[in-house]
Amino acid sequence: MLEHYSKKQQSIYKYMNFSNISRLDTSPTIKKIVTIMKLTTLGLILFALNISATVYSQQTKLSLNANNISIKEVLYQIESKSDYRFIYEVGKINVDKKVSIHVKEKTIDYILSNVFGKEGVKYEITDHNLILINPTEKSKSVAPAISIGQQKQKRISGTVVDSNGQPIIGANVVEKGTTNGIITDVDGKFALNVSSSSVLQISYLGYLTQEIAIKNKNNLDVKLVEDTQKLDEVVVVGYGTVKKRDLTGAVSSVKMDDTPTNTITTVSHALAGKVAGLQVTQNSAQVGGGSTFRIRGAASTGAGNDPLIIIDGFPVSSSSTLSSGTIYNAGSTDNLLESINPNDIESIEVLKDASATAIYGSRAGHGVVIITTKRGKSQKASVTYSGSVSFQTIAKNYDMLNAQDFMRQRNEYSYEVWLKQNAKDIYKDYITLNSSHVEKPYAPYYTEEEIAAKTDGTDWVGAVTRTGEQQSHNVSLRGGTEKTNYMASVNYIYQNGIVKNNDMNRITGLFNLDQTISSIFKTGFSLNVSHNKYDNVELGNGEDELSGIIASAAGFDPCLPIYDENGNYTINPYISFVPNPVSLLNIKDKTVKDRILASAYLQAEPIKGLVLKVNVGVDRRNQTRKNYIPKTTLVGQNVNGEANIYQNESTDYLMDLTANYNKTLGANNINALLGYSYQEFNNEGFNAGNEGFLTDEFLYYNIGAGQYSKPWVGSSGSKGALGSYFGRINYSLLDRYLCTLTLRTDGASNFEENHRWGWFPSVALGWRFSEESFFKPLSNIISNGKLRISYGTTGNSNIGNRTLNFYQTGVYTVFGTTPHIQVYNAQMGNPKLTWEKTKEFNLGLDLGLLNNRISLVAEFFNRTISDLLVSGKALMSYNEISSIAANIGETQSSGYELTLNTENIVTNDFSWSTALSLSHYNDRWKNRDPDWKPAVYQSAHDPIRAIYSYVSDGLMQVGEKAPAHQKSLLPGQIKLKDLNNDGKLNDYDKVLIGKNDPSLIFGLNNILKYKRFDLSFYFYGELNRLMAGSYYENLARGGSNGNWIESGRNLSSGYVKRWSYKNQSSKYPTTIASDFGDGDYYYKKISYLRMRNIMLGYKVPITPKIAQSLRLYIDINNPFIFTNWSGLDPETDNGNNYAYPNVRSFSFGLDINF
Amino acid sequence: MKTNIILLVISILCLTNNSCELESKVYDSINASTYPKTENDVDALVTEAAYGAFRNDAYDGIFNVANGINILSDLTSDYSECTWRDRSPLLYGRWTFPWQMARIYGYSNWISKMELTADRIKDVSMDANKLAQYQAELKCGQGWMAFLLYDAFGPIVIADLETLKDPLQNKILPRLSDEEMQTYIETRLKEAASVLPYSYKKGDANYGRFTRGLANMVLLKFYMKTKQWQKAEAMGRELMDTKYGYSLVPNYKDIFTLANEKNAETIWSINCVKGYQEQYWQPHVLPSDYPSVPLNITKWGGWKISWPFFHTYDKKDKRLDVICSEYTGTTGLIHNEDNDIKTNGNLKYGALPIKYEIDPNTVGEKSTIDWIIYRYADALTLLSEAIVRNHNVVTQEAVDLLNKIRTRAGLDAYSLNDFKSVDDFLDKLLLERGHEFFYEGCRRQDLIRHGKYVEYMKEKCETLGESTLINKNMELWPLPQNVIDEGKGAIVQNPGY
Repeated sequence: MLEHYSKKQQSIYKYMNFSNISRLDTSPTIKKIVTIMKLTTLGLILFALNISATVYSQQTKLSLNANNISIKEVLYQIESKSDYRFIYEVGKINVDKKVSIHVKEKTIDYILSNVFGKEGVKYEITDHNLILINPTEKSKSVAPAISIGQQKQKRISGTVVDSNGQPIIGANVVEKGTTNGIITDVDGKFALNVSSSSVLQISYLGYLTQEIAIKNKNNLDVKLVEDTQKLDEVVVVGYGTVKKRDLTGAVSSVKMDDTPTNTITTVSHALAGKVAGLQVTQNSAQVGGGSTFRIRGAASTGAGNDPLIIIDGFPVSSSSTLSSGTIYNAGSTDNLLESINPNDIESIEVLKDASATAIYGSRAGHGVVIITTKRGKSQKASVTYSGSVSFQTIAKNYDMLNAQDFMRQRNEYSYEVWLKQNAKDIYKDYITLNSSHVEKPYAPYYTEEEIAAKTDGTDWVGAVTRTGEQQSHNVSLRGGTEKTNYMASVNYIYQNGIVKNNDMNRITGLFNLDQTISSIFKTGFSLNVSHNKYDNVELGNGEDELSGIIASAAGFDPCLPIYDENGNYTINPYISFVPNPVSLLNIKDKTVKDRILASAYLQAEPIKGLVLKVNVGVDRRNQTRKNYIPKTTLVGQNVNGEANIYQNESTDYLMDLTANYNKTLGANNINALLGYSYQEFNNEGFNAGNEGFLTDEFLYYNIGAGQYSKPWVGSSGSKGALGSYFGRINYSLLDRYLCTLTLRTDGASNFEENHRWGWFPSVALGWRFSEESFFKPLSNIISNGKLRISYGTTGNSNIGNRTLNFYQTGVYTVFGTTPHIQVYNAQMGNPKLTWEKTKEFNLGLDLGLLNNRISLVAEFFNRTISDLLVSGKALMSYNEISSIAANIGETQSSGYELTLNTENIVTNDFSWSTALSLSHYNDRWKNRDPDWKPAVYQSAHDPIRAIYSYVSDGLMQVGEKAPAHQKSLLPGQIKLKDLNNDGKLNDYDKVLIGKNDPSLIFGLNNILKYKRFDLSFYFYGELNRLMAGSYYENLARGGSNGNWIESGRNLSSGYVKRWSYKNQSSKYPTTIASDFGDGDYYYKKISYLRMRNIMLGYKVPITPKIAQSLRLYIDINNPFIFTNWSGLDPETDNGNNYAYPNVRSFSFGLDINF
Repeated sequence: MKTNIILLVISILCLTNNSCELESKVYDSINASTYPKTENDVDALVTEAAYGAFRNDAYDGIFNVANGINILSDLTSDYSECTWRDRSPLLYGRWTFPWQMARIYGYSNWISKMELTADRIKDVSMDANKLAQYQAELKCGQGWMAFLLYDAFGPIVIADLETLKDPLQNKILPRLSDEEMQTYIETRLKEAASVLPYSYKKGDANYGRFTRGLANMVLLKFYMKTKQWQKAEAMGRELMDTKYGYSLVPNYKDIFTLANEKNAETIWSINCVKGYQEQYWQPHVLPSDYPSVPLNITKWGGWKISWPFFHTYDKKDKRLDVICSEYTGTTGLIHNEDNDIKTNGNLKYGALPIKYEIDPNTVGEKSTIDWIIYRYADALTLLSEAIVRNHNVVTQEAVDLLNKIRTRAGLDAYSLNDFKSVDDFLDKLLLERGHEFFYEGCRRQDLIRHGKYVEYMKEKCETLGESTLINKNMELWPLPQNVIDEGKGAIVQNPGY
């Protein structure tokens, strides 16, 4: 499909010349053809267009049969049937003029005289199969240049190269304002006679046109910079491709060329801020950490907000993270894109509005991300190696009390409590004592001498972290002949995370082949294999015995050594259930994930323009997690070792049948698509575990050796399917009036038959107003302009099997000595369950200014999701099952997106381009379910991720009377407002204080190139996301009970600043815990600006005998972040406490192209 | 040609549609339309519905020792203390809408589950007597759950079968009236008692199922709570009937040991078996450096008996054998009241209500010693109280009943002359029951019944240097806010909240 489109696109391209300057237009095919010629007749040719007409006698015979088609179409047909290529000047002939032609086995000369003769068009055929149209005109235009005479003529020669230093063959070099020009030869060289005061224009398809004043130069070396925002760039859309100029929907395309892929482990990490409207949030900074993708907000409330991800036409599912079976979890890893080698990705398209996504119907309610991997090209085999090494350090570490401060604060806290319990000092008016009260003397934990002597403490976080390392090696082979194209690549990457034991290893392989069988049939295969191994480290937000390694390390008593005098792991005697963080490194916990994504297609083009295609594929994911908790850890010691193995296998099958028809009739172009798709999803799971092992030696390799009386075993299985019919019509008139109609219907097996089929139509209109004649006067400023409008419906069925009533087996109760199994009503099915429907309106504007050096895309959208699916609609709480899956209410999401690309400076030696993306969305409830049971503080149209809270009113100071609704409040505690003045603190006093959504998401990328150097730096960030206190603030108030320090848990350095009897001006409340909570005291709108990476590259001059090109680079990832967040990192902090510290990495890499 | 191809495409599409079936399967569940069919199915459903709530398995079950109803009831009474300071609002009468209480109310829908289960099993063809017994177990569970929640919250919402069968109509039901609630509890328990066997002996394959003894014990508590002294007295005497076979274990501390599980004093206990149901008592009590045997069990060190209450015990009281007021920690530190108040040690807030033997087979947190819910000593002392209240005179019989637990604790027996008045008797009985049933979920009920709840709570707080908001309204806990919200005005919150 892609091949088909791109061919068509290339052909059409030659007739499109957007720059209004008169220049010669040519085709990329020339470059290709010349390359082929180069193989045989090396270095022979030097074109000169002003040679006198030499009609080259051609023997090739062609047949053409067409009624009333444009000259443009005739030329296209000739090109497609021969090696002739046309070159003409835009505006000099009317290529839209209709002609009819019926010839059989005639020479080109005959045909052209037939076509052009009648129309008065002249042409010349060069001896290189180039057909120059209206050459006489050209000679005329050359002539005045000479005839002007007064101006000095000079000969200028030079070379045109691309940004890699490769010669560009067939580039146009034209003296500005004339038609005096030439095409560069196979070495990119040109020579031309020009007037000395003239300006040369150098242009080539896909590159930005450059203008260079000749002045007194005789030799010019010109470097053309790729135009990444070309209108004729091909964009991948569902089941096909379309030229950007013809797009009617909101689609953003990320070509991966500018994205450093070698130093990242998953492409998710490179996408944040890249696409306006796509929010990528890294969930954890751990090795291979997962990301959340959100396209235009997250207005579904129960059926997930994940976009549909499509890899090479295959809608893929994320595999779930397997449980460890123990109290420990391994954080969040990327379960979807980890299987794709970032180096293999050609482009990523983000389909945002309903017009673009409706072709994926039921699963497209939250947008579609299409990932296209590289495929073979008809070219000489090219072998590329790229590799990098990185090391990583903690970008921001936990800021905890050191040993001496910890000791002082522990004393001070207990003194504060002593004052309170004996109603002394500031507490005397707040605490009532009776005669039974006995005052005991105060005694500190530590004497001053002990504190002074404690100069060495343990840096627990330091003890479990290290400098991380990463290596990546990638080899790819890409090439092909006219009929066979192939691509193969292998990638190996390993990463040792900054937390010890947190490692990742990955091998991915990609292989694809496209074979043209005959003029009708074509087939192809793709195979994507990945093998991921993770060494998990025990993460998680838990506290106490559930502490993961980071929680334990951050909070461990800094006065204690790692090992006691017997060499055992130290345990804090006050909290002997909290594991020594270093001991947790003994746990073996490994995940292995294998994925095979394989597909094959056969396509036929029985008649011109009609492509029938069958595509079948399988996506098989196999995942195993094995862990062993040895007796050297607390948990392991309690159970004498515990081993678990969890396995899960998922197999999805896909079959797509599509028919695509493309037809140009005069000024009308129609592209129609019809298809059927069936996808089946199978999932099976298995797990087993045991405890009570004689020895730690077995790890998880001898589960049967455990001596537990009831080893556990489990299994599960489920199946689902989705069948769909779809169609799309793209229609364009005069290249300026565009229309796309899409319809898809999906049947999902998880709904009852009556509610199974969902219909998803969409319509989009586009108007390229810049093509209108009345707009031409402005075309020097506005080089491209398009307005788009679309409306459509997509869906979401992602709720699982919820229509069935079923029982499940649960726990056992023992009567006598016999266990009796318990069977419970696990699900009350809802047979009426049906699709969640997303209706979306989109208004888009594409603007290209100053010859597209500035391009702007603006989108406005308004999305309504109705029949919202939730798995747990609350029923009255007296019911046996208190919730049921249902369609409830409506939400609304609206927002805007702006993308601005600018070529700030384009000169021969220096170029600078900038890409800026901005997006904003607003999600809220539109209509609630009639059975909605609101809390008193909720209202119908609240934001979806609303945050409700009491309103805080500062700290109560000494002398102040405790308010009536907070009678037990003590000085230094947070006052909350009794908003309804009823003397009670309850739900009536809670209000909506904001939402957990940013008000603006932005990204800014800059690429600078100077001679052989390139420098890029990339920022992204968010504004104003309402967040609760960070770990720093949570610990500054003494932990969840306020009294953590009493039991020897370490706290953040902010603890020193807390309110106390002797520090009554502090903003941090007293750590004598209040009964009423904090209200909104710690909530704050958090913003950040992160420099994602800065990369400096240098192209080493190298002889082609060794390699075509060699580039070396250094890259610093996450060098800095500006934020008002007091925690480690506003993006990767999970639930605010005990996040995996984010890293800063320094990489060195090289890319070699042989 | 063109038409042929289009026809071909259409026919391929049709073919594939037939072969590609749209079918969903959940292989690991039981299809509800064909269940239950057999006696085994009935047993599985009843085991879940009737017994699923009355568990103490880690953090699950209404009797779990972290947030269960008995532990909450004790924490909100006058003798309890806790090292975890986030429990302060519960301990000192300052709660507003604590999640722990909301969670207890959440058990109310088990009554519905039992109602529906009774309906689901009623037509299964099986032995009629057995079916009747299963039905009686469900009724016992309903009555019992209703009583537990009534005691904590007052009347609750109880739905009828018709409403339960159509949950989608979202019918708003108000709370039952006090009278309806009482009738519900009494009827269900009486119906159950009339069918269920008196009791099961240790070794019986059915040990652990509900019995007439249990139903009647709950009724006794219900009559005491509702001050129906006459009925209470009768029920107390009923439980002394030899057909039940209840008797006191000679030594107090032997009641709570592995060897004496299922002893004759136990009216109903939770059958804890490794791998099936394991209680977490010791970890909630033992401090981190407590030299337990085995040593490597989990020790969080929370629940305490406050020092002032501890000092009300007679020094020779044998019940002190299972209360730890001093120990030498694993690091060599001596912990006791004086030391720990100075050093903020674990005994700062009180003594350790160890009560249960440390299970020698404990793994981590998990103890398999049966968790006793009701025991005969409770019935005897309630009978003692009921007799005195019913007749408003201290009788020898009542004194003898009280003395049974006093003498077992190694204390001197009271004689009739030791009591200056009925009130004096009741005060002494209240204290005795306090000493006997610490952390068995009796104290709050006792204080409320004796009218001392607010007074004693206030006394506790002012002695410990804690502020309190305690008042008469707090004898009932608040209903969870979501229940009030879903009632849209029809479900009225308890006064004072």
